[in-house]
Amino acid sequence: MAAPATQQIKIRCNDEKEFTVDRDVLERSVLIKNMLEDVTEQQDAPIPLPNVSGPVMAKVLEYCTHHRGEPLPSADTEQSQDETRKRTTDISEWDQKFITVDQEMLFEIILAANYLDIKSLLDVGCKTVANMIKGKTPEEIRKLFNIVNDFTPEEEAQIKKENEWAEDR
Amino acid sequence: MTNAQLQLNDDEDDVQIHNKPAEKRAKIDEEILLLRERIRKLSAMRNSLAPVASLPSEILDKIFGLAQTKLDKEVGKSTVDGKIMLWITRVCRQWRSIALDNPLLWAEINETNRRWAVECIKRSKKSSLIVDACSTSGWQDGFFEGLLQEMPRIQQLAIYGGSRHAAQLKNWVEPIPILETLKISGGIIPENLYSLELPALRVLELEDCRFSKGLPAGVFSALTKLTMKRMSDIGIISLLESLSSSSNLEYLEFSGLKRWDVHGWNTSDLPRVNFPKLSTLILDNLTLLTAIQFIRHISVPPKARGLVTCKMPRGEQEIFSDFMGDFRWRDSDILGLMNLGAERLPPRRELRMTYWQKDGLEWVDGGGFLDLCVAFECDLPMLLPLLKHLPIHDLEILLVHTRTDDVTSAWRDIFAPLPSLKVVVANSLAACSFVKTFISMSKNTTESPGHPHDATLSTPFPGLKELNLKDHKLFDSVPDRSFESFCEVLESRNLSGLRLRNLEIYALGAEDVDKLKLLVDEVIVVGED
Repeated sequence: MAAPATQQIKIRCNDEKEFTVDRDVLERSVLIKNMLEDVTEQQDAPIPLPNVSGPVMAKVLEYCTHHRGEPLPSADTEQSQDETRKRTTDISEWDQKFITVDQEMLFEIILAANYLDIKSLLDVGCKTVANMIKGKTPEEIRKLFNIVNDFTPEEEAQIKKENEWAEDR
Repeated sequence: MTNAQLQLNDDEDDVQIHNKPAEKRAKIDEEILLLRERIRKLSAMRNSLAPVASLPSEILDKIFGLAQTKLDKEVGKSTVDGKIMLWITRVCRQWRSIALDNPLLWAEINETNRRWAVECIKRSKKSSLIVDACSTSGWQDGFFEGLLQEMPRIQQLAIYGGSRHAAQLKNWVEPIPILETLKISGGIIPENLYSLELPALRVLELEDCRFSKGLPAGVFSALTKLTMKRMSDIGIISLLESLSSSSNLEYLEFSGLKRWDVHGWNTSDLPRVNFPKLSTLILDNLTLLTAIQFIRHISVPPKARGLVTCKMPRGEQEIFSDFMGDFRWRDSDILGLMNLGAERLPPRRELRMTYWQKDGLEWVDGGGFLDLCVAFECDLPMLLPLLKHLPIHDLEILLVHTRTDDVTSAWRDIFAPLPSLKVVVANSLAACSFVKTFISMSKNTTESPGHPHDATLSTPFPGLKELNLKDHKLFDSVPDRSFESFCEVLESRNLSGLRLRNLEIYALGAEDVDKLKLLVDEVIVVGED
């Protein structure tokens, strides 16, 4: 007996790029899942995603397709203080390869994951940035992210004081 | 402002303030400040155009939280690296502002510098705190006094290294409403700890320290996890009494406890302590006597997991022998098994079982420890589920002792077929049960319609080389011509290479022995003059 056909959903990005995707893949996004649940009748019009571009959506869909069928994190595990304290920055091998992109794309993926409410992808993105920061001095971090020192003299004085404490350690 | 403009201003001012260098310096300073502010604003504007600036503050917040975690491989958990937060606040104004605005990023304090620790406490605002205080740091200088003010919001507290820190506990008299985990290492634990109101305390870890006086009953009543390592002068009786109301304990670990006053117990007076939720018991680096005495006085759920590593100094063999009844396996082998944790059990090539009657070991009544069962004794109904999960397919040596014969049914479920089994050592009713099962299984498999004459397939233990069966009524329990049936099986299953050892002469007549000698490679009988 043939397996029942998976429902196909159309989405449209902010650059008019359209994707037709299996519903279970798209439902990795809590935002889209809720939208689909709110729609009772079959709709042919694509779902507009005004905050995501085509190339970024293609990467997001690659992630969602790879992780389709995995359990979604429950809402009550999010954002508790204990949860915040227990986090690690380990990333699976596949995810690491997937997220090896240039900085601009990395931040775009993080923003898209945040907008589309894909917690696991947001975690992968944030962990990647966190791992980039670890072990680097402020100057190295600035260089990495192409930012410069913009502190006021008062702030510089406070920072200098903190540094003295830190060097005492 | 360009260089040309600056020069022009200088020329204009020159006329008026030619003889006033102080005013001129002030004006230049003013312009420097303006320029610096301008540069700062431009820098901030430039930063706002960097790709990373596209991330909203809540995401940067999350990233900072992740960046400060580091895995402490020694204890296998994440801790906070305070230096990273210090550096994050030095990158740029936006990052500093976001980091300082999130109290949670400052709420885990393991800093060794007192001023920095105090600053972290200030930045953590009203968040609950996790504090690791180490006596090797400069924290002594009044830090604990300051920490007292924060006690109502401490969730986890660890105090390491020495009496001075532990002594600070004396000053804690107020309730600590959210303290969930308390770890104390070193020093004397003051008695006010017993009377402190710690309604949320669930985990207590004590090591290298001692109590200032005996433990009152009920002091550990709400704990789910209790660990005591290298504690001295702790009486096992008072410990059991104080644990008597700890019905929520799920994890209990005693390691290297010194001077447990176990000798001379009047054990019959001690009520058994019930731990209905216990899932893990670890007794590590204790004397065998201590471990046995403790185990005898507790009861645990049937699926509780026990890991026991004991020392057995000279003189305790007798105690061990008493514990094991009249069973006489080599103690060292049994101890070897005791030293194996369940997760480290290799695929079994050798399995030793002793089965005790229900009243043989009282502590089994309330449940038992599956791992201990393999080592100490086996309550069969309890052992069967374990054996189904043990990797015994390659079992080569099986040693069984039992005082009841209901082991027979287990042979079929658990031990057959065992293609690699070479040696079976069994005595008492286990030996009888084996013979009974060996005969009935062999006969049944012969009747298999597909392979009526295949000797290999019809033998449950085709690799069998040695049967060491010791019981003076070896064949009495097998109904209907048991000895003859046994001989038939040996003959028809091509077991001529088998060695039969330890057979008791009381179980066989001289003619029987001669008959066996014709069927197998070797027969050794004991009890002959």
